[in-house]
Amino acid sequence: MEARLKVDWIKCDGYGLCGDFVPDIIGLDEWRYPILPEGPLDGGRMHEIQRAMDCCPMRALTLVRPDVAAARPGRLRRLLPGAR
Amino acid sequence: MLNTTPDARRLLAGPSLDGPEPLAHHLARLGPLPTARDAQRTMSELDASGLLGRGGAGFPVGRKWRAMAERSRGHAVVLANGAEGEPASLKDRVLMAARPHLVIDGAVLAADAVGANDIVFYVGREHEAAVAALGVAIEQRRPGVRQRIRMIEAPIGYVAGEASGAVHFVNAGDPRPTTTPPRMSERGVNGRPTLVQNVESLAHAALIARFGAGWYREAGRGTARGTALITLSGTGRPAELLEIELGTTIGEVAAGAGASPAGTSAVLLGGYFGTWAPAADVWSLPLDPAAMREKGLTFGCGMVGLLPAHACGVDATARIMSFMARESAGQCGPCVFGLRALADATRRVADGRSKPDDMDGIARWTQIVAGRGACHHPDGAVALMASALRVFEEDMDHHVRSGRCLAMSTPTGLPAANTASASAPTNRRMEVA
Ligand SMILES: Cc1cc2nc3c(=O)[nH]c(=O)nc-3n(C[C@H](O)[C@H](O)[C@H](O)COP(=O)(O)O)c2cc1C
Ligand code: SF4
Ligand code: SF4
Repeated sequence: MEARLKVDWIKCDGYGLCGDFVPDIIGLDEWRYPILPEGPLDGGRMHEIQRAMDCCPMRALTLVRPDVAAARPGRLRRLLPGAR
Repeated sequence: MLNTTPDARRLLAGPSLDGPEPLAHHLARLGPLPTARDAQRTMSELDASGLLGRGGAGFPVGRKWRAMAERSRGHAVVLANGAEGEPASLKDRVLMAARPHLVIDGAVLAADAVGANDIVFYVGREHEAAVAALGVAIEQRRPGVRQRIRMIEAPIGYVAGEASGAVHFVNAGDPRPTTTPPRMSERGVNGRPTLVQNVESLAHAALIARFGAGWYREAGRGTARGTALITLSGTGRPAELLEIELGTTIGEVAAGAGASPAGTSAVLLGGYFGTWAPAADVWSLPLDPAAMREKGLTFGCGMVGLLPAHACGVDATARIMSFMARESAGQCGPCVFGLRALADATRRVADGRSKPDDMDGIARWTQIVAGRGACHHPDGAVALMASALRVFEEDMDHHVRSGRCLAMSTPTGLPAANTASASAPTNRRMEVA
């Protein structure tokens, strides 16, 4: 089940902690806002990605599984039909 | 284009555009509106017409109505988008001011078809003639309309017309866009499924519902079918509103206003959200969303802005980017900082005082800002910047290397980016066969 990262740009405050945590997955621009990978995430590294999400002070990062729903760290959110 | 007997039923047909067409006149000219019982047929005609949305994104109108009809369960909302925050565009403000009943017709048809019991006209408050005309027209129509129907004046601002920003303002008085999902078609005004449709799209729908897809498709050139409102500027005359047959070439439109390919260096297509193209490359290009998309260009809001040969494209771009940066709703970092950085660097280049890494910065920000905001505002702005980098590459180099611009003294003829040209006098040309 392929997952992608998504950021809520309105919530994100550019602390850049996510990028510091997994720099080879989440890049940062010069204002320390994240540059997310475009494709599906490496399933073998979901643990690190989860921890990067957990350390976001704004809770701005979500994991999106095209076939299921938008998941938040540690809990599954309501099912969004057709969410991507 | 053009000039045989104007069909008395196209968008700009009928009496003068200087004031609102009265209801009795409107009905005598166009006949009664199909009723709610005809909704299925209306949607079939819309599908067959091929009408695309005219608010910028160009999504098929019929398909949008059907999707909404399936999920609305009768309690959807229709939001008629007449914000027109695009300073380079005149079409929506003039249409609402001159043909308010046609726009209302379209909104009522949409509400009947998708199952909505609430209609909101969201009209830019700076478009005073439009606000006045629609205000009167809505009062006249209210007794005959099943739905709740009201007007809300949109705050001034480019982003206030974005669909989620419009809904946010109607719900909470805050025009800043919101995070999607949820989409407005899922949870919009008062949490209900909301059809956000541009007012020109609605006016076309009101004619197609009456006269059919076949009639709509009688106009048009080649494979392009139907008509569209466009705003032509940069001709040396005040900006003009025109209704053209889709597929009419840029050159024909420009020549009609006295412009020549030799006197024009570049064309801005689709508005501040759009793309620059070299005049010579697009002079014979049809104004047709499909053909334009194929070439990486945008029909957008139908703006055709000519850049006179002696005007500076770099300066024009700097002014537009500065407008776009100022108009950011200030919520998303890459949009706020990225557009500001782009605008400042482009301004320095235009003024011949660029820093050593300005061109690299412009290239990089143009790449990384797209897609990194809650709404598409930054995407449109960097698409415009990317096209400027292609079209004005030499000019930019020249500015950077010599610190000088050879054309700076000539005004660009594009509307000043910081003034909504609401009061610009408009000439009308009906160019529909
Ligand atoms: C920054 C921004 C500004 C917009 N402003 C307007 C506007 O002023 N009027 C409008 O109709 N659509 C505007 N749109 C497009 C709307 O979001 C929406 O797509 C449109 O109203 C849908 O109508 P249509 O399908 O008939 O084109 C804007 C979009 C963006 C991203
Ligand atoms: S940690 Fe969260 S708030 Fe900070 S940059 Fe990353 S997503 Fe944005
Ligand atoms: S992308 Fe820009 S304009 Fe759109 S909501 Fe974010 S800050 Fe506002």
